[in-house]
Amino acid sequence: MTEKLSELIDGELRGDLATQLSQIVADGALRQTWSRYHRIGAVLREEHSPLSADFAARFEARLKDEPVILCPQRDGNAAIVVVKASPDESVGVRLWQNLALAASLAAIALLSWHQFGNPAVKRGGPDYVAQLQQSSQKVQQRARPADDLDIYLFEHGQYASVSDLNGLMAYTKFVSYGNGD
Amino acid sequence: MLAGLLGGSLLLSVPAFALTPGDWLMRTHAASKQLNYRGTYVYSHNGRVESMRIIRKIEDGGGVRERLYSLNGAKREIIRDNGKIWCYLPDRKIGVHEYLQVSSRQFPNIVPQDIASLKRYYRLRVGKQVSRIANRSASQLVILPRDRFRYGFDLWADQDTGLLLRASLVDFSTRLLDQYLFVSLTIGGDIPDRELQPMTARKDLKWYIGTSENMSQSAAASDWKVGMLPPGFTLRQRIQRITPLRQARLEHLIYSDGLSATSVFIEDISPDDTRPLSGPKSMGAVNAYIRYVGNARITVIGEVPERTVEMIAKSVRFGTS
Repeated sequence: MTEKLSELIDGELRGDLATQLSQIVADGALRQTWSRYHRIGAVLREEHSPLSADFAARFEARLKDEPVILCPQRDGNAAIVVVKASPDESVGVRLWQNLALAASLAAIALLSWHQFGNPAVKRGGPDYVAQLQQSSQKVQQRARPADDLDIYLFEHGQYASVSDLNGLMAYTKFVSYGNGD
Repeated sequence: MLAGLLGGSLLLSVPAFALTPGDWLMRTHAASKQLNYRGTYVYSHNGRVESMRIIRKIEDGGGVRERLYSLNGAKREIIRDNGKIWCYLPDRKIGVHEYLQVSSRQFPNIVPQDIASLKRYYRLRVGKQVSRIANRSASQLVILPRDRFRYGFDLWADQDTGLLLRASLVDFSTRLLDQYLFVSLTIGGDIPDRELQPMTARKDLKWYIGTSENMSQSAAASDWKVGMLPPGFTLRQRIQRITPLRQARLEHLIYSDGLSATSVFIEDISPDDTRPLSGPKSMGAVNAYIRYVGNARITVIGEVPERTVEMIAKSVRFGTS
């Protein structure tokens, strides 16, 4: 049946289309496969961003599912209420799964743009390589700080007192600087 | 400091829920000075998540060696060998070698009398709950600001050792601004030197060596004055030095309320220097404000709200008036 699904996607299905379609729809696994094929196709055609716009927001929300503070502060004098959400013991594992997924999808997006987004450039040819290098340089230029704020951030790092509770972690923002800030 | 360390050690045997906020902070502070550890944590901010690796080794004589690097993006890296620090910026093909201006003996040094001062500007509460972070039991300290000039903190420390496992920065409305969260952590054990070596060779970068004259607060005289500060912020240190990169004269003033710190940089600029746009700039939870006064660039930077850096920056004046 999977073979028939593949033929259907490729436009090569022969025979009684209605009957075969109904068989596909009735099969849960095939429905998922059908959906997955189309999601991948959409990514390759750039119909959808591989990372949904709210990916990071949802990710942060997941992190926030750990114990959270609820603090009604309408007048700045309200009591602190600390509540604990259900412990999320596998957040670390899911974090890496999500990061790996994000990396994979980002790689697909990059490849698909070069393969399908710019047909004038032959994949693997010299223009293709030059274009890859150019896009890489553009990314670096955008990320490069022009105001030495990163150096100030470095200098400031040793005084970020709360972070000093964990030594060099005070410099995290400096190390992170340039990765999109 | 010795008393603080001893106090921190003794506090390790006290159940976290029985600690006062001051005890909690001292215990965590002591743990950061005493323990070898290596771990991976995520830094979440501005809708982005980055993973970082940190390795810390306490040497026999009490010296500290550390290494911090990003696991993605630019290969920026910090190597610390006691009071010396090397900052690798392969994305800019440069390195900066500096000497730490502050020893833990000087600042910050959380002692009980500071807690009383902190309570004027923050609400502090030790949480009753226990969470699990990086497969370790963690206890909570919530620190919330009493005004909108500073941020608050949601801190979680290892119950066994006091080591900080998670730190969230929140604004006055408790909106999450950024977060550090360990996902794996090994405490104790030997750390071989090779783990403290940088991934970028020093010879591959152009190095700028910092020299500085650390001036005490009382001895420092300056024509630059900061006119407005948030309640509780006082001058903790004044440093005059030559910047490694531009070889320009720089004055660095550090203000703090004991938890939050803000730096004011006043740097001489020449007409040929590129002038970045003045005004506010945000880097996640870090805010900065740049303005120009004559031939000086004023940059105020800190993990404080934009209104705070702007207020301070706009109040910087030259002269005694």
